[in-house]
Amino acid sequence: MPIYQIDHETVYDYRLPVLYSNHLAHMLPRAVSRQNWISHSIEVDPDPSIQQERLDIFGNRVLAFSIEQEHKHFRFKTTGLVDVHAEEPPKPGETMPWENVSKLLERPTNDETLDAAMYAYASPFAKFEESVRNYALESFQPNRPIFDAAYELMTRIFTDCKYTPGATRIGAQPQEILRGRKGVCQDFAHLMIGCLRSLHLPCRYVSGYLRTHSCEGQPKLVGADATHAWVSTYVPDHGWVELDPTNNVLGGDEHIVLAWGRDFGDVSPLKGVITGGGDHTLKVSVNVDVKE
Amino acid sequence: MECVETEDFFIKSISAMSKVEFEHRCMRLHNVLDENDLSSSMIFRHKGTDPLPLVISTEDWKTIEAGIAQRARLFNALASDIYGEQRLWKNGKLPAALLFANPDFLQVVWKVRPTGGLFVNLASTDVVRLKDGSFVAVADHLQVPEGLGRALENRIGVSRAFPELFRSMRTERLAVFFKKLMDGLDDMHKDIRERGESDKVVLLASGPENPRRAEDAVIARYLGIPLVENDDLAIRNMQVYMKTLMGLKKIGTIFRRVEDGMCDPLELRIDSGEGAVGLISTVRAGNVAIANFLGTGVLETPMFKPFLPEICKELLGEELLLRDVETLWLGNAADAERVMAEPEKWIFKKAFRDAESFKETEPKTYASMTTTAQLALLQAIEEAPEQWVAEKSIDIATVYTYRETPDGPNFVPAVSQMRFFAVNSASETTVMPGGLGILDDGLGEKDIWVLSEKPVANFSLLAPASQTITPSRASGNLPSRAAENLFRLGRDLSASNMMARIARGIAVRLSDESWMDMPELPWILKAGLSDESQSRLAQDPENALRYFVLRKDNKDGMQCVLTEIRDLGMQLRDRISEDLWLYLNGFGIAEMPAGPGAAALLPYLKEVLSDSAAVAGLAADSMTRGHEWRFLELGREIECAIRTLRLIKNLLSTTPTDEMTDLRLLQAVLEIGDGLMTYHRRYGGRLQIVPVIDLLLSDESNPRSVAYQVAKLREASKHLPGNNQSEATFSPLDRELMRVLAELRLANIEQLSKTENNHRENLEKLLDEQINSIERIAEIVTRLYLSHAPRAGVIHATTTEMSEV
Repeated sequence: MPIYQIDHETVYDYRLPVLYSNHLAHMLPRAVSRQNWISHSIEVDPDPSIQQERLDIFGNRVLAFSIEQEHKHFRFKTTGLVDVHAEEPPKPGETMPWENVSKLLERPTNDETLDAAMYAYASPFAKFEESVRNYALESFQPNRPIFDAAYELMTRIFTDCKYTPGATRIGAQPQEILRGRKGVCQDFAHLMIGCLRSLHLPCRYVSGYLRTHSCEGQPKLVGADATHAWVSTYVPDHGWVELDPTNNVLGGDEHIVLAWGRDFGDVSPLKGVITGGGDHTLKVSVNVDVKE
Repeated sequence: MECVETEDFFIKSISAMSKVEFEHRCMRLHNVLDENDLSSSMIFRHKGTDPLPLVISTEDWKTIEAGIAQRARLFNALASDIYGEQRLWKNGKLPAALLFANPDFLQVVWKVRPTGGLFVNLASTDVVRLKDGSFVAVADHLQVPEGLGRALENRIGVSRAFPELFRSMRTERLAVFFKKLMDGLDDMHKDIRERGESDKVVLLASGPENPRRAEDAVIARYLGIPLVENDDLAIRNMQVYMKTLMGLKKIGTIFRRVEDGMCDPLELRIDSGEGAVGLISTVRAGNVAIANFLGTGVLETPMFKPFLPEICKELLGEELLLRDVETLWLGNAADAERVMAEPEKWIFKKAFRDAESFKETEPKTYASMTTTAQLALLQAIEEAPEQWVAEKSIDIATVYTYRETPDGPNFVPAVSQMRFFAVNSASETTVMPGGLGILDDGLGEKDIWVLSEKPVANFSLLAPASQTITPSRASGNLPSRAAENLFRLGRDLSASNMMARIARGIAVRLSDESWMDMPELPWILKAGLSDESQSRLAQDPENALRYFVLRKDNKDGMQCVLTEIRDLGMQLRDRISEDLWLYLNGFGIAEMPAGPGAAALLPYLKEVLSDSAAVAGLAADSMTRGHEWRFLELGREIECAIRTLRLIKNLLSTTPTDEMTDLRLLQAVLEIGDGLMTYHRRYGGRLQIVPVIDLLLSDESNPRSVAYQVAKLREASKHLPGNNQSEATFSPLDRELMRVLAELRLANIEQLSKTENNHRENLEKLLDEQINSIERIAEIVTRLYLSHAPRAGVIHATTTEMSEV
């Protein structure tokens, strides 16, 4: 049960003064059964003139705020201490056949299935495409238990695609990733989402952080970590299971959850619309330290 | 007139009229409609309004009214469930896809309760009468219902064409409905107002290029509320304000005429242009009411239709009164089987609207498709049946229209839909007794007359006499965008005027047979026509002139200015008088010159000049001296001053060697600068440089002189916000104006007229300085009152790349 200290800082420097800006942050940690936030704080500079915290339809805590004084420098920093543990995954062979899962969610009968159904259809960054479905079907043979098939799919994405920073733009569609077989964690998550949803199986985009390991004998570089993305799928009679196609592992005590949605668009960590400003430079630094 | 076999009292009555009389009435109708000109921007390839109204009996109306009212309540309740508890989806009755595969389901407003309590204020339903006499609903419009303004205009036209029938048939009036709509909008921000903060209702229109815009202007004007665009709104501290010349004014209710997705670029579609950034937060905070509420687009989903009877029972505990055309969802296996057994009896539609365009995809009528297309359709349905609904083909009863046929105009049967409108309030639902008849195949529209059993009371939206209105001279709140449009209009009006006068000067000379011998002609040509035409000047002056005056693709030409004047007229429609708008709408649209020769251009140029005079006169007569008037004046004076200065500079700063040319140039300057009459009256026929310059530059009694324009500029700017000239310190604008005016008054014309080496250096220098100063004044006005800082796009701050895995 490791405890992590997480520092996440976003800094914008603008060439011209920004007159007003409006921002939306998905960086307040949500309640998750396998995590316990010991402390969490936010610093915003300059001071927002007004802010509003709310829950979105996915249950995330969203912070909307605006800055109405002229500024050329903007800084948003979160610091948190969190206790994380892994959850026991279901036994792959004993989970429900995948066709039954999609059938179950067609006409939900309670809060839980209605919530799961929300993640079973195409979304703006994960549209439906035949090639993606065919790729998924190679793992989803008839009547195969859902978790068994999903695990194999994760492994195939990990094996078939090469981790290549800079090869894709933000928001590339699943079929583009499948064609190029290159990308970063966000892309692999979107590909896996596209696969499961093409079979009307529920799949969430999970945004958060990952514990990183320094090379043997070298000190870890401060700020060199990054935000991470993976997915989770709903297994009836068990709950949601997290899968990380970038690393071919299940989400465990090295994955720190921040927010989830249908795709990246629902949980972009920090976005904004500014008036004025001209060109800008952006610096994001993330640091995940193990405390115990 | 020939009569057709019909029970329709209206048609029987007009059959008693003579053909001439009837045609005369039709003409009256078209005149009314032309003046309002909604037809140019119709969504349904409009071909005019039919003179015959669609008449609905009292009996039928009872059925329709009850059905329409129930649907308006039903959709309000449905939205409340969709964006609330989602009870309908938790008992296994409705497919989850209806919500979660639906691009119109607006996640970001889930659990947001509308200020004022209503999701659907204005609802509208398209209804048809089947051959068996029953009515069915074919579509519902619950987000931004269109056609209300057109129904109003058709009513005005048709009732003016047949006033006696309108009265004797006891036709129900529409005004009460608009009153209800307005009361509803006012009521919505009651909670906000009670906090003592706000009392404004605005209509948020889509951009001027949107086909709905003309209708939005009609509605705004009829309801008496300001029409704003996204750009007119500012959100500060989670409150919505209207940007006006007097500063920010708080808004209570937004009657929005833009689609869900386009309301906030931060949280909705990032391409929603200059959307009101932060609107969603403001709505969540309960600081502004929106009608119809955000997210109501989902109610228009075709896939809801098959489930409506059940939804109605669940939510209202009532049977659905007005049924839809039979529609089946193909995601349901049993229904799909039934449809596929005889596909030729069905029309196929996508279950959801297109996510990009907010529009329904084109329905596919199986029976009228090619075999290849039929196969493709069947395959598409097979692959994803849940994406499709099938609608039963129906036999719609026809109505009579009066239209051109090969044998002349006659009564012709046609298929018509009827669009009805309802407005919900907290306590009741009111259905408009009338509506918009939409003829199939783009054949036009019809007014709908609902007949009353009782005599119809007169009602007007004007304030009742009992309500005392305190006289006020305030000019209200002028949005900055409207001020900018008026300013540009003013500049364009002066520009077109000067362009036409120069063109006339050239055309008159060219039409003289001895034009080759006119020494001043090349000077005027060079001075008047813009760069684009320069290359043509030498060889073919007539062609160059035509290019300048007539060619629409010449961006420096006159037509571009005229087009912009008409566009600005359209954008300003809700702020200027009907008469002024009429002139602007037809500005420069005169008969184009037929045949060659420069003389052929003269009648056209005369028309443009007379339009320009008419607009100036109407504006002077009809506009109150508020900010609207001031910005129009500022624009006109600035442009007129600059162009007059340029004219003098181009024609008089270099002197020709021979006296003849010199005299002819003086004559031309006076003629184009409109000073010839005054000059002759004062000085007789002798032309000399000093009095000519004095008259056009410094003489403040000459309304065409630069000094006069600048003096008027200063006068108009006196009342602009923050430009009070009585204060000890002068504003930058006033300082600049005073400087220009002083220089013009103090100018030593004798000195300026001195020629050295064929060059009037002092004159040219002074003119250049003045042109710069006045351009600077225009800049100051723009910066102080009109400019909006450009906004950058949405920025995602994210790096999802990992250094090491």
